[in-house]
Amino acid sequence: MENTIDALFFLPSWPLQADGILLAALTLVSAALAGEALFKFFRWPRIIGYSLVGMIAGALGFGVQAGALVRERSAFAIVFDMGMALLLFEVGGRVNLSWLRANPWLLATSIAEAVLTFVAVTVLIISLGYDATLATATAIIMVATSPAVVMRVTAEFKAQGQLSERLLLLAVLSTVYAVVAQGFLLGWLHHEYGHNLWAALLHPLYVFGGSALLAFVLAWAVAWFEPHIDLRDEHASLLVLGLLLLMIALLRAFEMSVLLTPLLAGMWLRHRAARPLVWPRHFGSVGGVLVLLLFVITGMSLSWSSVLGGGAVALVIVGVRSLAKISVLALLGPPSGLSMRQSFALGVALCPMSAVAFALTAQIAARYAEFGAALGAMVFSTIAILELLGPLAVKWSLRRSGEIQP
Amino acid sequence: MALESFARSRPFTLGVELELQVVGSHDYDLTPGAPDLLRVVAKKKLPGEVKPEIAASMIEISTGICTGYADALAQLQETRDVLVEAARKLGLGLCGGGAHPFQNWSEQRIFDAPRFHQLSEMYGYLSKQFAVFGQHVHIGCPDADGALQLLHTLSRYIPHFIALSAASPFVQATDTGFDSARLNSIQAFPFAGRAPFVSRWADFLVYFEKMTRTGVVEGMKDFYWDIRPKPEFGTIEVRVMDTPLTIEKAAQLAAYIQTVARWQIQEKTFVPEADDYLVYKFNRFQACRLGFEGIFVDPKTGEHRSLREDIIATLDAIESHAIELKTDAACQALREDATTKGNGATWIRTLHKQEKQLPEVVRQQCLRWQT
Repeated sequence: MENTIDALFFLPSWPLQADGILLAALTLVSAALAGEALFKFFRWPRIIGYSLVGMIAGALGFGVQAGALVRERSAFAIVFDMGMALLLFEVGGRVNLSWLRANPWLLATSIAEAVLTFVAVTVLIISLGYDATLATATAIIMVATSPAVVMRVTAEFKAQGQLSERLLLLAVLSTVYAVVAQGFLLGWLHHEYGHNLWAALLHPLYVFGGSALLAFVLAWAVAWFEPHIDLRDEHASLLVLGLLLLMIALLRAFEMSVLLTPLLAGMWLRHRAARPLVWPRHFGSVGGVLVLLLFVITGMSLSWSSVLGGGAVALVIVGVRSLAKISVLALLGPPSGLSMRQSFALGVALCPMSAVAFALTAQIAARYAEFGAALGAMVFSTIAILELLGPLAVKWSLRRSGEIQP
Repeated sequence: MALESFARSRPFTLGVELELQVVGSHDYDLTPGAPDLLRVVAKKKLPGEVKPEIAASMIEISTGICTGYADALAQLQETRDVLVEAARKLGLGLCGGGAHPFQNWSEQRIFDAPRFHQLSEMYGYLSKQFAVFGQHVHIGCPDADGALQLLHTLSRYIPHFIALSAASPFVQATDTGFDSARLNSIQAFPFAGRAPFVSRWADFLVYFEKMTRTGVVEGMKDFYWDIRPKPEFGTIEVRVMDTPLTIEKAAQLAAYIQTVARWQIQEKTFVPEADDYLVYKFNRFQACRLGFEGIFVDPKTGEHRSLREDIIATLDAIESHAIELKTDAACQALREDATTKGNGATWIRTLHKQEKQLPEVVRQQCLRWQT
């Protein structure tokens, strides 16, 4: 007997050890299957499946705590940052700022929907008996429409048309507002938690200044390579991925905003020359995978107790937020050149929340764990609901407006 | 269904229709923006009309009845400006050119209207490949027999109109080698080509009656001929031109057709015969493929010369009529194209060589269209 075992020394010891790779693999396989199943049977956006499986994995205890995702340099954190940076850089590059000049109603719509969402949610949360700082922090996060969801759903169903373009534009602008406002909020928190007023003022300036500078450098680097390397070729997009990773490393080292820099870089790149910049979607298939992982990881990291705890309040927030966005669109959509039907559909399509909202929460949680936890309790539930409903709302709106073919 | 009687129209009045490309301002690919554009311009007062076409990424503008070149140009300008303004509001681009250089035909969307869905059902993928962009010019005719005479006379000049307007060298992101690749996609339709050689309206009615009885056509609009009579307007409609890159060029082409028509009706330098059509397809092909460099075979003498030579000879011959019709400036501009500047295809190819990227070429096409 002893001899037999010795002879089979190459066999692993029993029971087998389950490690991180196995769990990650199982999560990926289930996410892919869930996405495909929802798409095949219901023609639902696949990302709903990815988010759902991510949430289940999180509930089973494989999740990553929000604050840790920002502070630590785990594989999860790098993939999350990469997916996010890639997507924001891409979506930023699609935004045509000169359109805002040609049609001022667009900018008016964007500002009005952001302001009304912010005010409505703040008032709601204060009236529910929470303190003003928490209400403000929550409302800032509610302003942003997820560019990730909008980008994915329009790509997946090959949406084309006026609503799709405006949806991307409004999502990007609302994200910029939310990120900037959150920078100032963080400054305010420094003050509230006992740091001096200088820190409260200088921190956002440091973050914005530094992020803008890095964005400029990144955009400049891509613009410099662009005439020499054909970025429409998937092979060349490796370069873009490399530059983005480099940017993330620098941003992390200097503790700057992983959200703002890629967005600004994309926008600046698009704006600096009229020459169209066309590259493969998500810079090729690797980028595509990173973007999909973004949804899984976001799902995994929503703390399950917060999600369940949020319940009723979350539903009210979702309702008020959507109402704010829809009513602004109904009012300002028609003068901006949309039909009433399109305006309403666009208002509905503005509801998705996902990775950006989560990252905004995580950034606060990384610095102020206690406040972050309270904030998570307010917003995680909303994010969870809208991660699942948002893609459906976008698809429904675009389908109803004829921008997605049956 | 019987064909309506041929309306009377003032001779040599003209009308211009242009099919335009609607592109997105992000990647400059075709985009289904026509319904939005139509809604935004709906309340505007225009000298002509703005209408949908089979693909939602096409839009058609037309003038009313124009007295001449200056009138046509002014009307086109007014409509163009309103449409460009609307496009800007919607973040869209508009441009000329006979075909979009890199669109994927399978992604084209059919404009949501019963007639277009019917056509799409009937022709299948052809209808999506039909997302090509042409200029049509109507010439007023005093009577129906005269209209058919003029139709067959102008057939000799079809290669001129093709070479002067050609602006579709690229299709599906490839240089086709043709100056006008657009006409190749129209060729596939069952009723493309030329009208049958009948020179009296009574005979034409017999032909039309036979065709409708077979049930394969319902009306004149089912014939995609290079030139076709349009009885309700009292005109003949020349349909071979690519939409040029500017409205100035479109107006010049209309002026040229008008001048050639007047010259031939008044001087009748030759009498059209059925045998003239023996070289028709050859000449037409040469013009599509090689533009001004193409060979032109004279249908009467069988003599070969370059299309450039034949165009210049024609411009010389019509000079007095051009002065009479005030189209001499237009004819002079076309002469410069034929001798030195080249057509739209030349411009597109040169630009592509310099810029390397087709989206950038389309962007600059949009800029040219605006100004």
